Amino acid sequence: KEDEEEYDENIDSIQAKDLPEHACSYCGLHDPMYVVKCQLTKKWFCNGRGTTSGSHIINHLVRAKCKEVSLHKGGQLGDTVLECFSCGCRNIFLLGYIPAKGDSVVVLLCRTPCAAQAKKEKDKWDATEWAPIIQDRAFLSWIVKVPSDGEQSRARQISAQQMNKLEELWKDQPDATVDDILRGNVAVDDVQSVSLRYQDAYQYQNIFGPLILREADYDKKTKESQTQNAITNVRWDTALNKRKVAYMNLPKTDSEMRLMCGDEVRLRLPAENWESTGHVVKVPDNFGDEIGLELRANVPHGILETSRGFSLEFIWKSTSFDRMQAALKAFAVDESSVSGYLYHKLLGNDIEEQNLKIPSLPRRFSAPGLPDLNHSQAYAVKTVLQKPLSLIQGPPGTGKTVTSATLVYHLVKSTEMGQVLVCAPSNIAVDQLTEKIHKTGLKVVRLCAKSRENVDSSVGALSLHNQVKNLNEQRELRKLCELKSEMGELAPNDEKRYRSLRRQAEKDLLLNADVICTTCVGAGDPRLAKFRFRAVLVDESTQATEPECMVPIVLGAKQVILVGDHCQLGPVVMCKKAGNAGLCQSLFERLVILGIRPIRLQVQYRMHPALSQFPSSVFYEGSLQNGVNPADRSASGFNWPVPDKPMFFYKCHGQEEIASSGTSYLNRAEAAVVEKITTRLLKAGVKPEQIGIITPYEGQRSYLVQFMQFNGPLHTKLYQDVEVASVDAFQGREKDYIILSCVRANEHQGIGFLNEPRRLNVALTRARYGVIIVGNPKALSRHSMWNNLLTYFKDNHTLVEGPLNDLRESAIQFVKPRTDKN
Amino acid sequence: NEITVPKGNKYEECQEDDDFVKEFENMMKADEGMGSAKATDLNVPMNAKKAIDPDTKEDGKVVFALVTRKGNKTDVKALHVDQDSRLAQGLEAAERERTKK
Ligand SMILES: [Zn+2]
Ligand SMILES: [Zn+2]
Ligand SMILES: [Zn+2]
Repeated sequence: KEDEEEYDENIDSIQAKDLPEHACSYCGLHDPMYVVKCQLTKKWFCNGRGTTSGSHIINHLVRAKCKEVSLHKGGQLGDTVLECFSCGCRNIFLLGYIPAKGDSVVVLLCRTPCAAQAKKEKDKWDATEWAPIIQDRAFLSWIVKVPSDGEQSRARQISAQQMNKLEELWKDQPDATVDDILRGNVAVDDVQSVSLRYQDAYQYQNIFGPLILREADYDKKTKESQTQNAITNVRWDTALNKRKVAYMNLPKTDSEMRLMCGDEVRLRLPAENWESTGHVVKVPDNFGDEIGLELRANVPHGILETSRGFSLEFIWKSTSFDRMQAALKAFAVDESSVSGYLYHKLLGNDIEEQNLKIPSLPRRFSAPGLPDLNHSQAYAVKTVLQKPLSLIQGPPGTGKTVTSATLVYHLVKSTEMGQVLVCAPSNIAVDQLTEKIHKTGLKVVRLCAKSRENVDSSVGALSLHNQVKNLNEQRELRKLCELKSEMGELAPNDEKRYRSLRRQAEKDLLLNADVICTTCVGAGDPRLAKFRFRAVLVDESTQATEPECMVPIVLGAKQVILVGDHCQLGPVVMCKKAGNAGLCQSLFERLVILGIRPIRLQVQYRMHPALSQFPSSVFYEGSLQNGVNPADRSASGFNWPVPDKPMFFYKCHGQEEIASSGTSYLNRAEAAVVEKITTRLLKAGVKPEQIGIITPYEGQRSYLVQFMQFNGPLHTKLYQDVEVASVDAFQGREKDYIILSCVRANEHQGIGFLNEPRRLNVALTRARYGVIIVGNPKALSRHSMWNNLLTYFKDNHTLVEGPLNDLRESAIQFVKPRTDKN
Repeated sequence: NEITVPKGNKYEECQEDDDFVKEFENMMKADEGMGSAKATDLNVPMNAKKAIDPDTKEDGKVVFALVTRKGNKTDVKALHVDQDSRLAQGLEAAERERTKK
């Protein structure tokens, strides 16, 4: 149906191509020049020997006691049959070749009896010259070509021992592969853990494939278990595009499965047998806890009058997981997916270092339209341009985005890599990078998922779907587009024409772009399926799982740059089993462990020097330098307990409560304090957009938003414009002032999310001018990381309590931390 | 095509490989000598090699003509053999001898 094409993927386009039928059954090599078919078992094998004493075909023929083969039509000898010219014998162990005397004619003859016969015709045949067609336990290269060492190293690695096992397995399971042997020791219910190094891409696929499958299943089950029945208080409205929107309240949950705009849903009214699919257009935020669903189909009048009895299902899409599986497969099966050097480097194989040849290094490393680079940034750009694989570590505020954008500029202008593909795991990170790259004057296209085309973004004008609408030459397309938005939909013929024109216009725009920006998973979009990207940059790569990071890389990469910070948050993995098996380790981290040293950006420009001290010493070995002075980050209007240290920890001994939904926490006392602090900042002239409130719990977020708008002395709108969110939502961004509400106040239970060091690092490094933490030291100090932090505040005389206009140091003593449990 | 080979990607000695080598020698020695061993005349049409286009010669190689049977007819395929192979050397030697005479 109409909308199915819009919102569903064409499954064929996601599947990576399979190995052809004539691929070597041992190692997967499949160039027709290299392979030969065993006539008995009908399996193909190549003429490469790997690490054994004979080529794969000979290894097989000997083990399986087969003696006849047939050549591939696409090979050197085409459809020639290997048989004795005289008697027709096809036993290749007996066959040989003999040249005519003094002539360039050659025939195949078996050793006995025919070669012996030829001896009798001494003047015609040089019988002493008879030689077998198998030399050195492989076919002569003029019969079946031998793959190069490089090509063989790209194929599946198989030992003599594994060949024995495989041949045995084939007796009962003719379709078994080496993977079945390797997997043999792992129980069905278990997952194999990730390795540091991999033998070949098939093994890589065998480890990561099942992990992705696990995560996908878990994701699916979780999403489907969030079905809500018997929803009451549904209210209806109409959107600008004439579609109907249903608003409702759902129970608050802290699970990482939080609703996002663009998510697919199905709303049903079982009593009337009615249902419609649609997508989320509003999530719980500063404007209320309601969610809004824009429905696709026309909603009958009767339904619009109804407010209760609805069921809401969350439609799970396998798209991102499918694309990751396809990338794993391409890495194994398609030799053109990455360069030989990258193939081995990514697997952790020991190979010679290589540098890339650049026509000429730019003389100035800064890019037009962007700030000048500092020393470590320029060094990073210069070094990275010449290497096929680089890691750049950017601690908070060190100008990662500027450096990445500058790098992309030079990749386009100074190298011959063609179009550059730029990716990141999150849409926000992609948007930020897109904006900066656009400033340099390059032609950028931001490719969005179809489900997100209507989501607002700061770089909307650069999105592919919007650029298409604004093409001057496309009068017909524009007319159809306008007609569609006016009428809501088009007649079938018009719709067909519209899609065809749009597809072509999108293709042209993509082909003409210098840079294409999209999410990692977005790189697997069918519209990019036929593109090859030799230069790929992945930002925030430490927030992506390995398979996710591979999606943009297997599009033909020769040069890969991973930018990230493994001291900040890692990827979100919901299935604990998959996470524990190593899915939560990013590619960036594994490469660091393998010995690839990241280039570190050293100077931070975000935080007041007092704010960078703790994170620098605890998370970055003290290596973070300050590129701003206290004077650059001093604001009047707030009386800090210690004047030159714009930070404090406010002791709050309120109770934690379970939020009404039963699945989250809130803390009223802390909320009241947060409101007072926020009000104070606003009164001092700080604008709402400059303030960020971080709290790890949805229950507290919702409570805080309501409390401030209701109880705050200032205008509601001011509080509405203050962002309140989890740490994860703030990663990659900054605010002038950050207030952190810890919520947990129970001395005997855990502190949940807050116990993850990387999360604390992110929470502490968002602010430019000031950080205020509100929490319960007694509960928090039992955990060593927080104990350190509290001690730091105490030592700096910034652990305080009392009225805000008369803060005094707290005399609280903490307990020793117990051994850390979550 | 770049040749990127991991260090240490060499031959791996093991019992299974040794067994394979031994079994291979056995299969090479076996005498088939079956009924198909009719001693027919080796009537190879020598002019078949004319079907090979000499211009298709690859660098560093010598072109030979492999004559095979295809049903009732004969078929010719070009063989591109290395200059330093037995075949090529043999042909060279024979040509030298012929020019001597
Ligand atoms: Zn066989
Ligand atoms: Zn093979
Ligand atoms: Zn024969």
